[in-house]
Amino acid sequence: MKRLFAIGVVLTLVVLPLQCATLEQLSMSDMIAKSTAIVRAKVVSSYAAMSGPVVYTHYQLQVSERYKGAAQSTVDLAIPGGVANGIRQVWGGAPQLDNGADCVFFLWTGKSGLTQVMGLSQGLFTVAQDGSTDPAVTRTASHETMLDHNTGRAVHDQTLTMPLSGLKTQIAAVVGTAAPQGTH
Amino acid sequence: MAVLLGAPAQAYYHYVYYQSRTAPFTPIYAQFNLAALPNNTVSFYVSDSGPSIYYPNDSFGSVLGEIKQALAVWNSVSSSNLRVAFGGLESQSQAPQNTPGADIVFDDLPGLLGMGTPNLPVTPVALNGPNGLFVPISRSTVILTNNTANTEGSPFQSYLEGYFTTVVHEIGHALGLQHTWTGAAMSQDVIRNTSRARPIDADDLAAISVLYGGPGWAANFGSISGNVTFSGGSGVNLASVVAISPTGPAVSTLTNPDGSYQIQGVPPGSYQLYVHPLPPDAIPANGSGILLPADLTGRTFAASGVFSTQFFPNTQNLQLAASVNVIAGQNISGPSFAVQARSAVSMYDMLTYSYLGPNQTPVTPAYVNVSSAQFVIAATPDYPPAATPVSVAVLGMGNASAVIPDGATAWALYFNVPQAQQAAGPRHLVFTTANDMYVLPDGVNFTVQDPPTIGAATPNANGTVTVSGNNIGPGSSVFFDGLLAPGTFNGGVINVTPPTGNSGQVSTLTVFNGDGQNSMFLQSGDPQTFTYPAAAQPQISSVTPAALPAGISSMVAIDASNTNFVAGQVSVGFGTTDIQVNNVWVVSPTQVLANVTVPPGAAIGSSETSVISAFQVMSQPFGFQIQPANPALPSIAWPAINANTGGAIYPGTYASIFPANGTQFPAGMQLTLNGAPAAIQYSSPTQINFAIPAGFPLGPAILGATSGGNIVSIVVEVDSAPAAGAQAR
Repeated sequence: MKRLFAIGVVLTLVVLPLQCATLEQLSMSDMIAKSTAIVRAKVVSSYAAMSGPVVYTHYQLQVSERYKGAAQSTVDLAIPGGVANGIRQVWGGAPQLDNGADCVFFLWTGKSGLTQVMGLSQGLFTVAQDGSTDPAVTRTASHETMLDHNTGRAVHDQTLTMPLSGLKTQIAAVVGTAAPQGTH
Repeated sequence: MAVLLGAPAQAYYHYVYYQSRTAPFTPIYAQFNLAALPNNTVSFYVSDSGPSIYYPNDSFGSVLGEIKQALAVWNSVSSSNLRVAFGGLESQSQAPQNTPGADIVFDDLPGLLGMGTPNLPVTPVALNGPNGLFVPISRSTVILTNNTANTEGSPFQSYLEGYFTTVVHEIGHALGLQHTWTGAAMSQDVIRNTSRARPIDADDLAAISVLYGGPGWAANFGSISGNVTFSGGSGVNLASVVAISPTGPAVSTLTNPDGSYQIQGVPPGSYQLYVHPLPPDAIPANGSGILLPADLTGRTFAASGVFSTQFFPNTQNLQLAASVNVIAGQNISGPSFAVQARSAVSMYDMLTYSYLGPNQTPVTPAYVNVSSAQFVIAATPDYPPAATPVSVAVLGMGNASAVIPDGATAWALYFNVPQAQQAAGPRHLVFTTANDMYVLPDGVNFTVQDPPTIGAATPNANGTVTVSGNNIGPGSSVFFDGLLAPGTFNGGVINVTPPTGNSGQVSTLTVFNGDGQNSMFLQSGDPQTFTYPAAAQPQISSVTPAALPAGISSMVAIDASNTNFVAGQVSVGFGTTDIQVNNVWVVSPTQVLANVTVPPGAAIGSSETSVISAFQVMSQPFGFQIQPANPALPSIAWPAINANTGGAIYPGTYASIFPANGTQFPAGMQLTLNGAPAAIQYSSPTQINFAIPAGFPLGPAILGATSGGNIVSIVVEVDSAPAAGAQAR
């Protein structure tokens, strides 16, 4: 019984061990702090192009709200995978977006100059189209192996749903100002 | 295989196409076209930019070391005809490449550690190959994080075993493998249970062999075929059927759209069979999961619905599960399943933990020392489970003596281990719920000793390092960061020679044991390190020649300064799949010779010369050039062979060379061996025999071919003569 108690303590406090991963699980505060921009936007069109050996599908986003980053009415979002130069690449863990998709995007513009979704799909929250003034936003759990941010140990991702207002409040709490409304 | 066994090839976990949408379904796999690869070899080229941010003491040399070892793992599969090689560094802005190959690049996207994929044709066209129809992969790509310090989260140091197993996994994707659910290298998610000691499992071997198996490869393995149908009779698409040996491997396949399956590449032995649905995270709605099988127009075949897991013959009672005896070269036809649909998968992606050492350090997948005859592990799916286990068994050993909940999503599992079962190796767990079951292949690792720990790493005057500690033995190996340090075990310690390092470099040491445990299990927070002495910066001094025309093989000599080249630790690359490095010889601490082949169809342009010597990384971007073909140059096929035996060349024999690419040797071509005229025994436009004099020095020798003022040199390897007994055979 004493041994079981020790196990229970570890399970409760330590989370999950050992590295073996494709993605690292990013916490909400990480994504807010490290993203270069956070916007609510709709996908209006897409095209694919190669950057080095990687095919990226570029989604043209029409921004409706900006929560972090410089004012911009449109965003060119690049997600690995797609069809270009006669080849097709499919990357496990990379989401595919439909035209008209309404999402909150946690964006990262890196040294390559490409703007991508933080954590491949972790920074992508779908906005429910239910006519609500405060619609639910949902991030689908990634099926890829992930590491816990703090411990570096393997963890499962989980689907995350909350009201848009709740997400905006979390963003504002980290960014340090009230979440701005509108595009510009 | 199909003809040999009289059974159709069936779907595996590859990138799969079908020629039509009706049965019979014969899978067409996406794979590299061996006929388009030089020496059946797909070479991987690493972006010379490397990671841009490193964990303290981490290095590009260590990253490259892990990549080279991961490639060597796939290259080592003897039943596969595909060879996998490290091609060196490449510049992203260099000339295009015409020969199929693969690229490894680095990305700074937060949260991304690694991923891989083949380039698939937009409009697939099936070609005929030795193992049936296939769709050619033109090139593949692996992306790794460019930040091993991972300043956005936890570090991902290249010396960690997880870095290595991740690279193995991503390269598997690049070669044409999708996910599996057996704990193997290609297993999805956190159920993977591979290590440096066992980097790929039987499931991976079967998968790669199905794509690239050499003639008769299946003769050493068996296969099992049957059908999976719903109780109403309709076939189940993408059900996972697993052949599992209680103390051996698990090998699986996915069913075809009509529910038919064939598991190939099963090592001979006794197996039980079970079928399970894909977990819900295998094919998420946003398209980020496995690529569904499709017909040649691109229309996919969706996975069938969820069903209950069961063993053959249609039972959830392990006592009633039948065994099948797999025999090499034979197919077992018939084991079929009638499954019951259900609303959701009750249990999947289970993690197991053991708690090791004085601080009860958690380790997953669980490792347990069974010499004490009892062990306890924890299991948790880390998501709200749809069911609770009624019992948990180690397959072939029996049920846990107690299954005690720890909160709503974790259980402590207590087992007694009969003496006859106390052998090291992975074991499979079976979770039985009220109306379903879940099997976790390789869910727990049995060991007969505790993990190794390093007590001290003491430098010696001769440059070696003595590594001592606990649970270190003759089967232990010592790594400096991501590179193996060769050494010997003697008197309870290992004396190793550190891989060639850089000035002032600090390497992290890890001891790996053959049972899969390593010293980082207990010492990741404070690992042993070794500091290299100060030294001058290594660099390439000259590359001769620095240009070659398309369509020839030639020796290239690379001289360097401030290096300590050691045979087996040096890689040479020319930055493009259009230059194949056939072999490399270290002739001095500062010089290497390489035999390279430039195919006739090589793209003209500049590429990057690189030399990787353990941790030392040297390169010359755009340092090598492919020029237009020069028909006047002799084109010698590599290698030269013994004129009598077709094998190795040794002193006192004749060697044969042949022209490459269907050409002919120019009339009057003269040969030199290490600069001295070679005695030609026989000469024709398609073959020349020349003498290797008795007493000729062993090792690499430079063979020069001269014709009309044009000279081409290649290296020939002169070996020692075989023993008399061997000659007689």
